[in-house]
Amino acid sequence: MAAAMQLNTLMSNMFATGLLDDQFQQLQMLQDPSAPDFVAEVVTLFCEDGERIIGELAKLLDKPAVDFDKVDAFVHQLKGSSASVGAQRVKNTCIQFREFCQGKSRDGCLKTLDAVRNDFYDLRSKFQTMLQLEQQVQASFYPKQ
Amino acid sequence: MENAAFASGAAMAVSPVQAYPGGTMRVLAVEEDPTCLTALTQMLQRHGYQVTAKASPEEGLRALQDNPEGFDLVMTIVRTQEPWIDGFVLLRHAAQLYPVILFSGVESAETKMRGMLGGACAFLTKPLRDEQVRDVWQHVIARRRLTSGVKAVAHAPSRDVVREDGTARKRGLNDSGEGGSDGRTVKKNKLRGTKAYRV
Repeated sequence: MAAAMQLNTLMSNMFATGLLDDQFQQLQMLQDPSAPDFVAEVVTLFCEDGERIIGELAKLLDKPAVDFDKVDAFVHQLKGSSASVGAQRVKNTCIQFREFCQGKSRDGCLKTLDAVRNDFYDLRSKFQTMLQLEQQVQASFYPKQ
Repeated sequence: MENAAFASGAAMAVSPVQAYPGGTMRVLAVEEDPTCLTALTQMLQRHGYQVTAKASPEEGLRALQDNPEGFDLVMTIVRTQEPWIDGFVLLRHAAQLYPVILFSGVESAETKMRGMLGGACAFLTKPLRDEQVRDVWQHVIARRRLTSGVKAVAHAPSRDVVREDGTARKRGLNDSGEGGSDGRTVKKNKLRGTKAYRV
């Protein structure tokens, strides 16, 4: 049951440090026998989409003339998906990011992009660990014959 | 049988969604963000709704055009990446035929007002909570009542009778409809008789 204990510790830590909020618990409650991989599916989608958006943001902010409306639109998207999955820290950084977009501050946007990237990759790494531990816990309950 | 259960205040054995006449309620869910769309779909399905999920208002509009009888409710994101078609465009096309629920991140009061004046029956703020999504069936029932109520008013019998000589009298409890100098009466349309509708 080491995997289960590690999983509990990891989840407690993610909530306690503000990486996740109660919206993630809402998602966990939506998982049921008809959708046994629901949380894994949502987390995977979030990670893939988040990576794509961060890539787009980097490209937009690298241009000589920054289209702040487009940047803002992508940040809005990332903020929405992070809020839906309970990724509180990423969401809050996106809120700051939008302020710099609306202020048309390239430096502010670049600085906040770094912060979003760090928060996102930190969360993604922990999500990956969470999914691995869940698989181990499942395997120990339902070993293959 | 379900009406008797409602009248007696008895607890429902099935959810309102499952008890919906004609089968389960069918929702068209439109959201660009795949994470949010997956979460919304799962929330709805867990509560017994039949969900058609579309990743853009454009696809949602096409779904409505291809199958206009196929939905009871539309739920759509407001803001999209596409500049030419967003949730408001879908609302404009859908609101006459279906109850439409808009949802978005934090929006200004003006945006919400625009949505409600445009015909939305609700404007929800993301992230959507399970209890909000569970109860969307109420908008379908409210819409049905409104629709059948409009038809009922249009065909309601008038309580006023007008004599041929133009004088009016109220219909009494045992009124046979006779009256006037020659015994003939003409029913007056109650709506036309009110100040608001007089031409």
